[in-house]
Amino acid sequence: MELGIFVQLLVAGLGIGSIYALVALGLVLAFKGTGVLNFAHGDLVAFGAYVALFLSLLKLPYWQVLLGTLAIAAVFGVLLERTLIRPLLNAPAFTVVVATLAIGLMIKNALRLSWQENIATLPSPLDGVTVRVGDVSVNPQYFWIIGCSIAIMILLAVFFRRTLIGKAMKAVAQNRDAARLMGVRVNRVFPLTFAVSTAVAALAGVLIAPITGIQSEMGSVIIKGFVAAILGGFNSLPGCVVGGLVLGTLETFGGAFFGGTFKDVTAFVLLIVVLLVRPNGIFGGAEARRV
Amino acid sequence: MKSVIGKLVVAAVVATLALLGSTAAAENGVTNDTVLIGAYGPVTGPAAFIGLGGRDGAELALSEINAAGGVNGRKLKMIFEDDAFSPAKALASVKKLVEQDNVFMVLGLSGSNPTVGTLDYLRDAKIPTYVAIASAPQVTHPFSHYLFRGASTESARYGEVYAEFLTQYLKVKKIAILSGADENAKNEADNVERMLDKWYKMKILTRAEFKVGDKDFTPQILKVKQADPDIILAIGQTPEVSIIIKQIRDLGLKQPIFGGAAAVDNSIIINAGPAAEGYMGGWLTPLYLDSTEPPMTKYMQAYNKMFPNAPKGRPNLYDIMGYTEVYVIAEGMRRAGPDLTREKFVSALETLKDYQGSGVASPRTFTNWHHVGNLNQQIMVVKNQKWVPVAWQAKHESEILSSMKKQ
Amino acid sequence: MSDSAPIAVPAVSGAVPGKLARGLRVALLPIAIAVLLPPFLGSYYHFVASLALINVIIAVGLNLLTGNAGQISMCQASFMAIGAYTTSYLTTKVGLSYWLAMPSGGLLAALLGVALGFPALRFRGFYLAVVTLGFLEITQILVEQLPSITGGVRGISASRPYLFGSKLSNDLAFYYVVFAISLLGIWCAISLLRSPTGRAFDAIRSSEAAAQSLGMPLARTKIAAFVIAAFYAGIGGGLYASLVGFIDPLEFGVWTSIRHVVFIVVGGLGSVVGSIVGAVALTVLPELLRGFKEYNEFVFGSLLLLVLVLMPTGLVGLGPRVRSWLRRRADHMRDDK
Repeated sequence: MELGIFVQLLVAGLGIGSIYALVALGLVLAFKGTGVLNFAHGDLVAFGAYVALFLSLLKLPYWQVLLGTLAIAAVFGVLLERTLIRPLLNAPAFTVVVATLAIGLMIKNALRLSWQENIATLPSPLDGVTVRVGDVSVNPQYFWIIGCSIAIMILLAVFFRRTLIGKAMKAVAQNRDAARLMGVRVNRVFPLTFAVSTAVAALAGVLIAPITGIQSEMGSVIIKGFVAAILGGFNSLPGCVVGGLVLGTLETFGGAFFGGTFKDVTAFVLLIVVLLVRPNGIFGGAEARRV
Repeated sequence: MKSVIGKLVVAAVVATLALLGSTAAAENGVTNDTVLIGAYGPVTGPAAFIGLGGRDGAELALSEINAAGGVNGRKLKMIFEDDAFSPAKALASVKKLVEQDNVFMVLGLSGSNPTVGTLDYLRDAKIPTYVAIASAPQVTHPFSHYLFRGASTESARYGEVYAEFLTQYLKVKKIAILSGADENAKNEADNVERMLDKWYKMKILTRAEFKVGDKDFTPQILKVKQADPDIILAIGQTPEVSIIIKQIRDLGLKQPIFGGAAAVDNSIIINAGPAAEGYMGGWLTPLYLDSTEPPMTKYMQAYNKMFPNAPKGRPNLYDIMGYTEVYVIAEGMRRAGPDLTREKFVSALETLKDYQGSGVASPRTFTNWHHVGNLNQQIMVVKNQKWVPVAWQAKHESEILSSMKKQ
Repeated sequence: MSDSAPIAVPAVSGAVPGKLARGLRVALLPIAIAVLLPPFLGSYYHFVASLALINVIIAVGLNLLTGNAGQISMCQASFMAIGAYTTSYLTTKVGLSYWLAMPSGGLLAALLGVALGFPALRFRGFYLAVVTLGFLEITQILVEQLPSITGGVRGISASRPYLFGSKLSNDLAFYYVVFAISLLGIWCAISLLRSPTGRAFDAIRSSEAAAQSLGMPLARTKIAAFVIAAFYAGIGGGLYASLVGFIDPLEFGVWTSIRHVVFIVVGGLGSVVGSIVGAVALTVLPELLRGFKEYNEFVFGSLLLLVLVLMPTGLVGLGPRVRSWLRRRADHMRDDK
């Protein structure tokens, strides 16, 4: 394979991988803070993109659209938590997962019926800019995405390890009753976590919209985000970033060698191979499990 | 516990019966003042844009026809069922329409696979069925007296028209194809390849496939770049094609791009921006949605009056297709006369020759040996960020009809 | 959220004759209705009822694997696909009788369930879910890449079987066939759960470490669970192909697998009755919601949510709750006197 083509494929793979990384980060964040695998996460990504779309119709500058979307998303996350997740606090894990699926379905339907363009777009300050290095071209939006992913990863890592609230979140996720006994206000931690993870989802939506366009199905990226998180080691934030980038790269090269329709299957096969060698993902430590 | 569950099951069954009504003996959906049309299509799921458009377009036509007095003194009424783009649900919808709602005929406003799932049942039950949108060949082959295809064209026809356009009008020699792996795109691309070879002895340079939902097409585009074609065919659905067009230009390819019917859409222009300039595709009706020709502006006025708060992106192609085909159906009923029966209706439809139900429709012809209503396609090109028709019509005789004549 | 704590499984402590007899008597009423009512209804009802029963078969199989043996599977739809395509291939291309082809579809699915079972031994929870997703993706690729067998993305037709010389085109007749097969499947599942294998499933779910320490053959039991679930799904798929008459590969994707999981969660994990209730309710519900037009999926989602909030352990928990509520009312009324 020519060097130029190799580099272009690598760049494309890292680019799409950065999208998976950002989605995975939000998903793992929600899990780390609540113990809930939020299957509505993908539809919250779509929600963020659509909110930004509506805001941009008001002809606001990009920064206001972005911040406005994050604020609205955070409020929406708290609302979801209060009305729909709170009653399920003591439900079995499967029930909660299916409940989040139902929520996602409702969000997706609402978005689908409100805007029926087959694909919509978000104006972005980087529109029309292409970065070229020799024969290789990159969409600069990807830099933005990977930059944000790494920034979020670092912020969250510091947050979980150093701040009291972060540690409280982790405690709640591990064992809610014990956390309560230790004085953690679970009723405050949950909405906060949902607010932040919904905002991260919305951020992902706003950032990937200029590349992928906006449509009600864009939430399906959650499957790839989930796989990326597993690949990296499900509870690990750096794992999300590494897992996402590795997944994107594996996919892209798989598509180049075997054909576009084999992208997903090569990624899955390689994922299973990785898991056979490292059953908890690349960065996953052996987790203590209640026996 | 089980006895309670048992009682719940009983209650549920009884409630279901109460809600869905009793079974009446089959009538034929015609009363002194109404004709009942049953329709199905996806209004939920990723394909909802098809059913929503088809249904609303049909409703618009029905309201216009009824306002003008109906057909032979009867008003037309439509019952629409969601099939969620699933053959199982489409079949359930059709059974409900035929047996519970006792419709006179069935209007198919869904895609190919769900539609095909219903055909055996409808054909055996001798229900007049008018398929407006699906392109699957099973609707018209083998010939059935009761199944008709309207605004949409056969998937083979896409291949014929595109092959002729590429070789005779654009006169390109080296063609590379990027095609989606979904049923519609795959059929279009397969047929283009086949007809290029069959009629013009031309083999394509290379073909790369992509899946619906993919967001990056670099491997496929690089493969095409290596083949160095004169033109690139990008056949797929709008979301993927809009990204493909952008990525083709980003990766430095300058060849013109030709797309399939599904990707002739204003949102392609909005999303791909300047990269979309010169992009071509096939369109199933003579005028594009933002044409300033009087028939289209008249349609738009009527549409905006009935649906003043239509969401962005509507009306779409399927609105037009639902609209025009209801007019064709109404004409068939009119020609059948006041004593309306199913047999008379299908025979009346077979008398239509170059019938244009409305100004935005292409001509419809049915005979007693073929029910392929439309073989026309209008090639469109993006010029100055708007879709305009290319002044070219296909001339090569379609194999679809000639193969049926021989029977 | 609480860990997947053992869900209330119908108490089984060896064959207790009174309880068994009572169970059979109670089941008589729904069975009687299911047999005697349909001839008075149209083929639309027969069609929907057959769909519901096919979903029951698939749900019962999945619940044995997930609810009882505690193994997550996101690829029940793949085994359904294997059953469907095998059945249609053997009947149309090979000319085999449907009554041989359909079980063959189930057996092939079961065989591939073994293939899935082995990697599944090493994984639990989310990791297992992703592995099953990988299996789903692989089957989808195979379906698309082998159009001569499967028709690829264009789908393939399947026809109704012949029974005693006449074709079962009549939906009512086919419904009775589906009903009989589903009864058989339900009975087998209930028997299985009362057997040592069933108890082994429960042991694995509650605590793998404890089960192993008691000398239970962990690997064999897990693989058996996968095989059984796959077999049920394969049979369901074979029936599905014939019922609908046309197989579209889109019907066997991740969303269908998710629907199967929703059936058993809404019905009640670990309970055969739960599988029945969940599958029937969630197959019939979309038909009842037709009046909501394009909002029907939204309403479906909201009803689903409501059910989960009100009955987190599934609809099957309704019985005991209603009974204890009635008992409390009776106690109050007695106290008031």
